[in-house]
Amino acid sequence: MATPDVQYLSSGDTALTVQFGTVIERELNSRIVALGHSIAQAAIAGVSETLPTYCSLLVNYDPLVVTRDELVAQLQPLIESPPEAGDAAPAHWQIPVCFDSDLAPDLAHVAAASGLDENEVIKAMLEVTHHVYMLGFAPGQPYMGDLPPALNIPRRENPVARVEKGSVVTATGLTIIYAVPNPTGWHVVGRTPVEIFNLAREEAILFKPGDKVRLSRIERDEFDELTAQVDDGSFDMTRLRQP
Amino acid sequence: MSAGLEVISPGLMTSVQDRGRLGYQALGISVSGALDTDSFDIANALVGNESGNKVGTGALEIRMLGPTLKVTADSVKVALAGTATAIEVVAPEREVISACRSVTLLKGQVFRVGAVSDSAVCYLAVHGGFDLPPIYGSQSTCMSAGFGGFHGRILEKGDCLPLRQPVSGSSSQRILRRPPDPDNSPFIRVVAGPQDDYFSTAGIKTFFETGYTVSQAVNRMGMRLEGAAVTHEKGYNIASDGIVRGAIQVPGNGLPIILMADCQTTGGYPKIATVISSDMPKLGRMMPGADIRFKAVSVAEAEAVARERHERQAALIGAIERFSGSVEQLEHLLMTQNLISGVTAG
Repeated sequence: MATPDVQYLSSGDTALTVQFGTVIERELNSRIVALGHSIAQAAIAGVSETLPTYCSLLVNYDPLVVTRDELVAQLQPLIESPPEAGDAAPAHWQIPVCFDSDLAPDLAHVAAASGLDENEVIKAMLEVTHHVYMLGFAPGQPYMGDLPPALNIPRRENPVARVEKGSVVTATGLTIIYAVPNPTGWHVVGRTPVEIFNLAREEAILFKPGDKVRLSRIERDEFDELTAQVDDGSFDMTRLRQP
Repeated sequence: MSAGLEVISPGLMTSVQDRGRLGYQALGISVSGALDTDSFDIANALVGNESGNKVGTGALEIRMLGPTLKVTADSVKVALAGTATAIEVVAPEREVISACRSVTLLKGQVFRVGAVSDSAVCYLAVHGGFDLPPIYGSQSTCMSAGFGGFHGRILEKGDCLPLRQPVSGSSSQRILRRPPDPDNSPFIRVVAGPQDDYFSTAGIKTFFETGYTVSQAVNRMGMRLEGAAVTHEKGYNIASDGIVRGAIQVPGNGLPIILMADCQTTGGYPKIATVISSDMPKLGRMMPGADIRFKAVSVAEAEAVARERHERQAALIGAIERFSGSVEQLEHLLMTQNLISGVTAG
């Protein structure tokens, strides 16, 4: 694989944004996630943590331990060497989602904006193996892609003040599952009973960057039953993992 | 109810904070932590706590108006730093305890920190720290996600903050006789980028050559500024990328927002510049209405400033002296420094 042409952008004196490009694309993102693992393995003195996003890796460091120039010199060989899989092996998930209209208030709008009908929108979301580009905005909240080009629709003009946790939202060809209740500028097209973030759970956060997610359709009675199981703690989380 | 400090009145926005939640940003977990880490460290040092990143010993971050607290433990050693405001013991007998010295308060005593007018934040540390579970290695309150600190929120009337050490000796106290002079200049040093190329030449000029004012819209997540709009050249949407504390994002209306300790880990607005780490404590102390002028420095300059600041802070902590805690010795110490007038005011 060719050595990516990266740019080192300064984020103050405590972080470096290692930018691989400006277009959201899986191959590029996978290299970014892999670089994060390579840096962790290399245990560079002064580097406290890294944060992968769509097109760049934010490398946080302590300027009292390592300068920007010293850091760049240590990062360059890691970027040039082929990515290691290591513990970066992606997990595969299957997440149940209900598309009933009260849980998917923007499905009609998304259908109209994309030129598809509502069932075609749902079908498109179910057929894609979603790639978790990054976690952000709230604990464990996945930014996933990619939907077919028809679903590359703009965000809302006016954000809504609150959507519930578990809301499945889409815009710009990407999909997010909400970790906690929050405002959104995206379109709500479904809801999962699964808590993707719960501190009371041993594995509080479900996904990691690079994971693969399939959505499966459930009807309302199953949504209600699974919600009750989640609430009383009897929900079997292992059923979400795909081999 | 475990013994500790009972909240009689919570103040405006009092939360438990430490040096922050490091190592989990890749999972979407915000860093949080004290806005003014310099004063936080001094407060902890005054009560004999270490406050390094790994310890997670939280103190109360007080915003504008402090809490009234009742000691329900046998005794507790406390200290206030980051302000010239004093701790007032209001019951059973009135007493005024100046900032930047420790004091041991006994069961039943009620004390408060009133209106703080010289800084947006200050810190009340307790010997041993609060007995609160670390979440992802930190006691900091993350209000946006509702975890950490005391039940993931600011203090409320009736809360009881449990202490790790419900008994503190009174025979040994600590004092910092020469607290740092407040830096009231408007200059905040920044490193350009990471997306300064998204702005027009005129926009960059506006940003550096006109002054800004801290608006009323300021909290632990961000500080909105008022002033001249900065013009973009390549639009105001980027593929969301990682955010550091101090990043200055400019949304569509052109008015800069400085991202603070509780900011989200990722964001999609271009960031014109980033406040250097050494100036973040000063920024955290700035109140609505304060003037800001941005001054560009190179990363190398910022690194040199960081080293100088580290040494200065270590010297300050090193200058903290022990004393017996008697009133006589305290007065003697203060008289020799001719600081008594500054201490008894308020």
